[in-house]
Amino acid sequence: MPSLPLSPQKARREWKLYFFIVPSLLLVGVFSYFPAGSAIFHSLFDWQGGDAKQFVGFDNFRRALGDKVLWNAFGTVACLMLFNLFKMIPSILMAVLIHRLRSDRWQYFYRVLLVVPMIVPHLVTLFIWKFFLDPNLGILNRMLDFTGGKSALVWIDHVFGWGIFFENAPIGWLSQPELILPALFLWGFPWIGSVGVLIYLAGLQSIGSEVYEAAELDGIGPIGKFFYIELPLILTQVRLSVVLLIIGTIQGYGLQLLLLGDSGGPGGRGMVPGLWMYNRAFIAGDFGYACAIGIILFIFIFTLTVINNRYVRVDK
Amino acid sequence: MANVTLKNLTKIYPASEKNAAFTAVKGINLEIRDREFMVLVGPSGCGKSTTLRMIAGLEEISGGDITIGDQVVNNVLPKDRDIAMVFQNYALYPHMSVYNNMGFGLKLRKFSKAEIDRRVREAAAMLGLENLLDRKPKALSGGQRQRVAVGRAIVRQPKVFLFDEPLSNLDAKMRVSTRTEISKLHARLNATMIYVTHDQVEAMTMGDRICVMKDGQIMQVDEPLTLYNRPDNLYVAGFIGSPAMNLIPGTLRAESEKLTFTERGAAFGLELPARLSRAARGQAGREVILGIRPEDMTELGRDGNGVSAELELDLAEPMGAETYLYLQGGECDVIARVPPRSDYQTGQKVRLRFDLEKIHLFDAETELAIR
Repeated sequence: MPSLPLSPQKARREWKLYFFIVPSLLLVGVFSYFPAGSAIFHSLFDWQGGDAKQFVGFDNFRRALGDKVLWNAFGTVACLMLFNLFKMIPSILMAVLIHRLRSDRWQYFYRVLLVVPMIVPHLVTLFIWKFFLDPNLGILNRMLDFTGGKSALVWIDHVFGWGIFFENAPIGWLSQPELILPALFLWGFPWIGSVGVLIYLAGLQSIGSEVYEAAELDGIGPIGKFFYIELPLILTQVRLSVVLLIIGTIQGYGLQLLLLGDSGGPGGRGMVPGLWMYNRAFIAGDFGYACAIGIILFIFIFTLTVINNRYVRVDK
Repeated sequence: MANVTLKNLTKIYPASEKNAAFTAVKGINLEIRDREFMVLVGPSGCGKSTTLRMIAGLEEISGGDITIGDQVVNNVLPKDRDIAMVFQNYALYPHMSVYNNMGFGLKLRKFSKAEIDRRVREAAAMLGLENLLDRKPKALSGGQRQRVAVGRAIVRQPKVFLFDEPLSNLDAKMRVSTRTEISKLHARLNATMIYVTHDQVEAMTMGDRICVMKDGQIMQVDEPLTLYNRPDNLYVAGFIGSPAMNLIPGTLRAESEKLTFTERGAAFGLELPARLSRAARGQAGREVILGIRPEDMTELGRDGNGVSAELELDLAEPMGAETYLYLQGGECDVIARVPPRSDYQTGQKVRLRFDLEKIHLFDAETELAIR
């Protein structure tokens, strides 16, 4: 809808409406924009968190450019991003499966089934996963022992000469540097995200039943239906998910902090930019530098989102 | 091309939490001939769309048989029935261009690109869509979309075309032009077409034969003019024709050789012609319903002879070429279609002469025509 300029008459008539949004604007300003502005400001200072600070210009950014830990962390986050893009697939498939259920009642049941886990706090889920991955008590290792999966891994290790899996030692998913990325990949298996599934379901439900029927008469099969009808028609939702995922992955470090600690686990293999920012600020007390990392993160996220919005075409 | 036979076709929707079991189609029998344009018409909920969807295979059948050509298709998948369907809401693929919408079915059937291109362009030319082939459905008007939907059916060259109220979403003008286009298309393709509509004008103008349905049953199957002139029952009499046939309840009385009809409120009485007198002999003394179409009445001047009824004018509706008179008398309301005049006044008496040869009689109980 084209926006109309606010005429004086209209302003006189409707000033109350504008007045009512002032408190919200103030709160957003104080709690969202002020800290962001403050971060930009402080990124230009050598600042340890106290009153004393010294203006250093772009020194913090120059330092970041040469910071190997930071760039390795960006490498790690790029891997995680690929993992997460891959992890979208099960959610899409799950949404399609639920959507194709003929019984409304079962559809409802599965939707509820998906929403219930959302009640569990994220932190609790993380702790559960930490427990899953525990070398001695964790379910993953027990299952590998029980099913013979571990022997297979040891055999593969032997063939390729990795030196990671040993017959007599428990697998240290979070303690062996080489296994940290695989562990982060495994995390959340079977990767069915409640919110994602619900978003895709909403998209699928907006496809008219007649479109399906027309496709059926055209001779489409169940797989063709997915690739020719369903996937193209939920691309808007998929794109939304991708945007949220990019932002979430680049920003996030709760998972790494909880599973691996504040230095990214052994060898810092699980270090991500967000965690490094946290580490610099609250472990090293180098707040000015942490602010600069924050700004770099912001620029990354912003650029990727713009690229996604502008160049990933959604035809509808 | 092929004929389509429905034998004892039944559809029962089983009871669910919210609804009791419902029989939408009650064992109908219908033979649709090869290359025929058959229209299924009836009010909403009469089972016409369900019947069509069962022919398409989109709805499972609860009983009976559907035969297309020589094959019973009860358990044949929709895609293997060699039919094409045009839906009310067009059902175009929103993410595909007009070209791809039309060619998609052929692509799935592994036709060569050259063949798909030939057929799509041929159909596009037939429907005047050549310049729109690259557009997406959202960039088309309703009429254009519906033509794409028809094109999608044409390229498949199916044995049978099914149309499910294809004009309902179009505006009045577009409806008339698309209607004639579909009729022309039928003449050109010479294909078997089954067309569902609730609009009796569409049914009358398009169908080689019309099947009138009500409550899951077939009321009458006949050519349009036969339906109009010789309705088998009260329902068809009232459904076909606009304005509808006047249906006037009354009683029959025998007077020597002839029967007379007296309107229930005794507003008028008529001596039935010999043909009807003979047919209704057994009904003497019983309640019947007299049917007469609005155009089968003539308004008489003050001194005209042979008045059938003198009724009071409620309203005169000038339509330009003719005027509809809404009349009232006794316990009946009557509409008469008369040549245009502008000096009618509410409350005035209008003298009418009924064309006795065009009167219909229906049994008040069975609602069947008395012939």
